[in-house]
Amino acid sequence: MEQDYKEPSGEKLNVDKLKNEHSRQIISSISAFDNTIKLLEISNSDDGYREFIYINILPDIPNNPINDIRQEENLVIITSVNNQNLPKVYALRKDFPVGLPHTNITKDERPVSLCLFEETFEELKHNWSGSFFLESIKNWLELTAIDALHQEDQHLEPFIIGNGGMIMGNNTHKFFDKLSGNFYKSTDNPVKKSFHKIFISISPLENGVVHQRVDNLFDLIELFSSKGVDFKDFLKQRILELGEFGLSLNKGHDFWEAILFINVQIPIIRYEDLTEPTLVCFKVDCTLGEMLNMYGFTILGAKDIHHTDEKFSEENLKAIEVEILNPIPNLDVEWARKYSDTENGKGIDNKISLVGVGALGSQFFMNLARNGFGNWNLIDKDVLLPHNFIRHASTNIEKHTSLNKAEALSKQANELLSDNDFSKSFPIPVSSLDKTTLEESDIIVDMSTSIGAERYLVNEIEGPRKLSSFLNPSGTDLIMLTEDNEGVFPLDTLEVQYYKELIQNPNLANHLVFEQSGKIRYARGCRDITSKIPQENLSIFSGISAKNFKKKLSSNNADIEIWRLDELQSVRHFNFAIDNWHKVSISDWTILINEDNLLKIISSHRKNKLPNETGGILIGTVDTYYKKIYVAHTILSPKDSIERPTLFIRGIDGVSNELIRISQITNQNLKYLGEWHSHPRYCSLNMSEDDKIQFAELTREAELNGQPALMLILGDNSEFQIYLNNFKI
Amino acid sequence: MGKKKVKYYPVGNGDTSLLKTKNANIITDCNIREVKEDIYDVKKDLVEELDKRDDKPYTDLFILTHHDKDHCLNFKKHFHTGKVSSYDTDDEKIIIDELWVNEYILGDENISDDSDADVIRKEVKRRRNLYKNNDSSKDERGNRLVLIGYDDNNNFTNVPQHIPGQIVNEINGNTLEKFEFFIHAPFKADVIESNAVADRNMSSIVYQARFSKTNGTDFACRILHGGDADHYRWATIKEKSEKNDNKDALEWDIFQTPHHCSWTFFNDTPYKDDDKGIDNSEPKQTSLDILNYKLTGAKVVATSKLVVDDEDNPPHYSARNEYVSVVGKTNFENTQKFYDDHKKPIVFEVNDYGATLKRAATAAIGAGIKKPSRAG
Repeated sequence: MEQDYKEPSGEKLNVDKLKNEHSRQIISSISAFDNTIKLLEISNSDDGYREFIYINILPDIPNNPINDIRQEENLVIITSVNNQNLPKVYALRKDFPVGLPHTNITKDERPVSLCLFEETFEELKHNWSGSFFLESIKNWLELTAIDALHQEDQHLEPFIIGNGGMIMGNNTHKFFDKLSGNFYKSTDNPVKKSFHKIFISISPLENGVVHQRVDNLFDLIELFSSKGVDFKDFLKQRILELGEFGLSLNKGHDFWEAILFINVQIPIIRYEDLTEPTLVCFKVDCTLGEMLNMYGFTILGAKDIHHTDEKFSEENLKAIEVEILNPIPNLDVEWARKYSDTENGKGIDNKISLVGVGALGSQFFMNLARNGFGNWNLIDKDVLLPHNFIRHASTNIEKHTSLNKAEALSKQANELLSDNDFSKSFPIPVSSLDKTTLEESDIIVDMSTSIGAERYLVNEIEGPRKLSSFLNPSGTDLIMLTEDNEGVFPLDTLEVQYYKELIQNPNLANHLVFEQSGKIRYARGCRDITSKIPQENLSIFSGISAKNFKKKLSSNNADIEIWRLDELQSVRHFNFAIDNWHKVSISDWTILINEDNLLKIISSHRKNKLPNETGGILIGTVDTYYKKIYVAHTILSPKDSIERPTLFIRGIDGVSNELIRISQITNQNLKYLGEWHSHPRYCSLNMSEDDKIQFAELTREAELNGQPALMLILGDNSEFQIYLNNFKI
Repeated sequence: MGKKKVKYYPVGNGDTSLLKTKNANIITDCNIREVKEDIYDVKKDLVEELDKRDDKPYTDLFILTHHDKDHCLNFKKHFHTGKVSSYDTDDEKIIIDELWVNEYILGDENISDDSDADVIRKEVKRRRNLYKNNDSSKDERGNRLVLIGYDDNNNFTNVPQHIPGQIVNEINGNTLEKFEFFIHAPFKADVIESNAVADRNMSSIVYQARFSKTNGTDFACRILHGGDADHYRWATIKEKSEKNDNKDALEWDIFQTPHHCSWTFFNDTPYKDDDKGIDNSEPKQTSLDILNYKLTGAKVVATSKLVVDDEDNPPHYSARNEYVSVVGKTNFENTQKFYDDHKKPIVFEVNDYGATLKRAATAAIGAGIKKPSRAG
């Protein structure tokens, strides 16, 4: 904070004449300090705007302090009339130490202005009181005395504090752009002015801010000279090197006319032999050619160098303006990782293929991109339309409308991190993408909300672990299915188990339910339907999915998880033990049977019914494209079934309602697949004559439904045989 | 144990001080007056500062520099004597684990019966007898006794002894952490003389207490505590310390003015009597030399009533001026003045930066570290 001290020009005041609220508060608090603070005098400025409170203070200072703060100090506190600023505090002792940490920069070195608070008055005002302020002054003096005001974990003070900043991007940038305020940014845009970044490193200096103003090159050289550093000499070597470089490459006008940004690395001493580097940037309003000229070198026709006398007169140096800038690194992957504390995160450098960058996928991706996490392939064939911007991570409706979602998002993230390799976009359907792109990934994330994409990944892409995440239709629940590292539990069986869990868990019965009014048609096409989900749900769930994704990388296990946001905005987490599946193949069909759920249940049911036969309905789903049947669940023999030692006729009591319930809960994803029945003890699993008749009946009906007929016969020791159409499996 | 401290209580012309080291609390002398308006409740503060064992407050060590009344007032009321097993909880007296005395407490024939000095004498005898009889309980806390200086009348047979020039870093059989005493006095000659001329001040214990820094090698704070020793004793202290290469034992960050800021530290008294042609107003060089062993930022603490510019002695205003000329006005503190200004004892906190005088009031009651005064 820059603040300048002016002697009071008004009159001496009595306490009862004080106008400023802060003055009154401070003075009325003095008595609480038990004679350790004494009021000496009060006066004001001639405009009456500021009031000056002179005090004598006795801080508790040890007899061997590190900094020369005395056991008795005289200070002045200056308050202002609007009470919206922190009062300023100056130490009046003529030999009060200068250059201490936590002092303000002032035009003049003295009186020293104490920097009491890191926070602004806006933040402090709710706890403000006169005694709080006086206590803070005492605290400042006491801690500064033992050099403890500056905490161990705090950065050391910069050598000199800049007014603005130089945002340094890529090292290859040769041009700079003036941003708002005193900020500059390097760029590769040749329309902008060219510059040279010069780096010099000087000898270590003591901790403490320099309290001198630097307006021109003369001031700068003087400042370093006062610290025993010959800045001119340090700079000379670099300037000459640059000149020789320019001549050797026959550089043109731009090179010699480029102005100088001088970055100075100053090691600041923390302890006796321990220094920490600080960096300050000086924008020197002087071209390379002019600076060479100052050193007595004139460039003739960009080819020749002519040596004359140095021209470092005070007048010349004062004519070159200097701006002190804080060097600010541009945001890049490294910084993003550092600031989001993901530097050491597992999988931080993983190659991640993300299929689907719609509402959830884009926000999931940007959450991780802002962490600098991963290296990405973004795959999506869709373009951004106006309604997408309600929930998409891109908010640039002006430039991104009609752009491919993956391309727009990849560009956005790469620009953010100044890294064109951070993500690559593939504006095509996943099935059109070269498989090796996916197979060379460390992990594939499916956020396409497309069962087709998920099944493609399971059946066509070998190698990487896969994860699928999506919202339920009403946007209240997030689902994440995660394969184990070994691929024992692929996404498709996790998906089918997820449906099964919905029908078994009453809390999730409405998970897939949605009102027709919850959909909105944004164009005339049949698929042009989107859900009405508020962005805040996406924000919450994309956060959870990103966080959980990172967590999954540290675990090898498969998971089925659901997060539900309730009306009080609390999030409930469901997760489920993963079921094992028994896999059998015949011809070109694969049948996957849930061991933990289906086989155990029906075996137990058979055992209970022995010596009678029993049976029931097989529930699951069929993927006719990949010729896979997932048998996940059963409806056990209804009440009206006939169960005899050599006979089973499956009843119908309640079956219809149960099938409707299953269909509704799973959004038609689980359905009737076929029949199962048991054979008596010691009997074979071959079809009986009755079985053959039933199977022929099932086959006829299955043909109508366009799917294979399925019959399972269960015998002793949980052994079973499956009959598919007329194929014995 | 909390912070390391040196505390001087406002007890008028008298002494009560507390050293809080890393692992021991040490009281030197007591002049605990009846509590009334403007009389600080020293006992309450001591009990809050001390640790408790079986709910009984105790001090690891009590040093009685000598048994003048202003150094042992109300000892009987506030300190437990006799076996620890006879402790009466209702009295809330302070148990003294180890007691340091000089020989004259037993040699003095002028102690009136049932005075505080008499109570101490009886307690010294009780403890002494345990040593004499080689009683197995002699080493227990509450029974321990140490003679400081020479045993002129053989009253302290078998009692442990610390003599001038000795560095002590053990009490109650335990090593003091980052703290030690250098014993300066009483010297053998002074013990003999105090017996001969019946002067208790002559026999005063004088010590340098020193806190070490956390590095264990340098000293963080050195305190010279002189009891009521006069300039003759101090001259000997200077001579012996310098001769025996113990100059560092003369250095001080805090100097407790001997005999309550009286002129006796600087020269004989009366200070000046023109009628009798007496002029002792020139301070002895040896005393000034002692003061010049001060270290950076050193402070003088006058443990006395208010030091005012009058003929009173102690405290003596010219003595005060001598001290001020050595350390400067800001480094001269008086227990009564400090109490008037800040309503509390003089307390220095000790850390690696030295001693910090804590003037500021702190919200100790609100912070739960201090009991509020009694409500009625």
